[in-house]
Amino acid sequence: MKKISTQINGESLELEIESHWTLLYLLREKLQMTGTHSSCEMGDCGACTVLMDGKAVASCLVLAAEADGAELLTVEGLSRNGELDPVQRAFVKAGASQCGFCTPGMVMATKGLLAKNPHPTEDQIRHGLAGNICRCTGYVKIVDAVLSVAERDGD
Amino acid sequence: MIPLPKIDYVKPETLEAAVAYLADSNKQGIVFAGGTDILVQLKGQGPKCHVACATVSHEGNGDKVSQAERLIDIKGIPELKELKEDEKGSLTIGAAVTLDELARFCREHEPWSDLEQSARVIGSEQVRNRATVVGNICRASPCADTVPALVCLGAEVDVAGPQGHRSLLLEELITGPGALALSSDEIVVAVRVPEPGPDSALVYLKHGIRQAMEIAIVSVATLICGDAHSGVVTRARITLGSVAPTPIRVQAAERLLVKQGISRQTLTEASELAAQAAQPISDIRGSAAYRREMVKVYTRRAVEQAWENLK
Repeated sequence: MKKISTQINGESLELEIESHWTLLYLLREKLQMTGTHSSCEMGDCGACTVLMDGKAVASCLVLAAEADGAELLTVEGLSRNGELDPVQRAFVKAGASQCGFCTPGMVMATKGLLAKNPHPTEDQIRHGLAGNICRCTGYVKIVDAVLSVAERDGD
Repeated sequence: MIPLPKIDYVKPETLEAAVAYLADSNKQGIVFAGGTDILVQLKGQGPKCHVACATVSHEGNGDKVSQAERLIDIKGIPELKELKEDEKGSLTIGAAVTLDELARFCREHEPWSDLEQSARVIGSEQVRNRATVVGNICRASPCADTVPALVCLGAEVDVAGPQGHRSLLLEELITGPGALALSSDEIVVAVRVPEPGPDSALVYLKHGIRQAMEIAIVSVATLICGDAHSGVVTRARITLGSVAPTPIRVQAAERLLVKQGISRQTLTEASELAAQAAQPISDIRGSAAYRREMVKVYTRRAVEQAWENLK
């Protein structure tokens, strides 16, 4: 076992981990934070997207050991005082969720995208979310949702 | 969940310590930076890129990764995060610099704006936020997106080992799919790229089915230096990806363009020479004949576009 110090959703944690654990495994299996979804585990689908030091990463391709000293944000950390994050609200309003499996990853990838580029064009949104697959193929409403946040809350 | 094999993980804070870990014969170590390829390989899903693009063998660093007993994370070594221009205008890209960091740097620094595309077309945001430029190089995949443009620019790599530092040309570093001209205790510290200069244009074209998350079927980079008004070409570089065991330069076409300038006739001849130089294979992404034809199309397109950008 190895010790790491990390911050998850604003809470500082000292954790014991194994070298061969992925961040995704740590989140889901050890911390029971199952909002971050596990699917391809190869970095292809984006379901496991979290923010690491403000940037979107596939938590299946990050070692738990690499989270030492990092600030992590997962979908569980988005809402404040019972209020949904603007990105979450936009997804709800646009109906950008069919089966919902890809939604946490889409929402977190959107957070990462807007942090870099508050006013993305539709093309930039499609490229920015290219690493997230929706198995219902409901991309139109997802893009609509992101566009609505980009226009309203960009500044 | 797909388990990773039990493997040791260390994060040295100095280059010397990293080299010492690499030289440690008790535990076979591999350099670990972005991890976006290594972790996929360790999960046992095989070296994706090699299956797609290898023309000779599927060996190389796939084996090295599967035999590794220790991951040597180099992201804690401060000098490897270096991304800056020196007084001569050369760009140093440290081994821990991510594709996203390079893409953003290129967008903000005019002399390097043409290089942005090579870093931008790889994988997804999530991948580019982790994967490193040097990792893309050292994976030595024939389809590595950063390599053709860097070869055109005459990039060199700085290598550190127990015997000290040395440098070699990027095109000499990659010797085959997954194979590098390095000994097992050497590490690439940085890639150093000479400034392209004001009278030059660099173009990288990647042919794939999708615009993102794609592995190139054929890729072409070209650097053209000269004066579009007088029609003089002072330097030409053409490098092909995904159509040979390594990215390859087409020197015959380069010489032709310098000697005879750019015209409809020389564009056709240069594209033919590129197609002849290619040694493509047939695989799931495309047949050898299709690839050869696409080399022709994309070489022409890349040179035309570079020439246009020079105007």
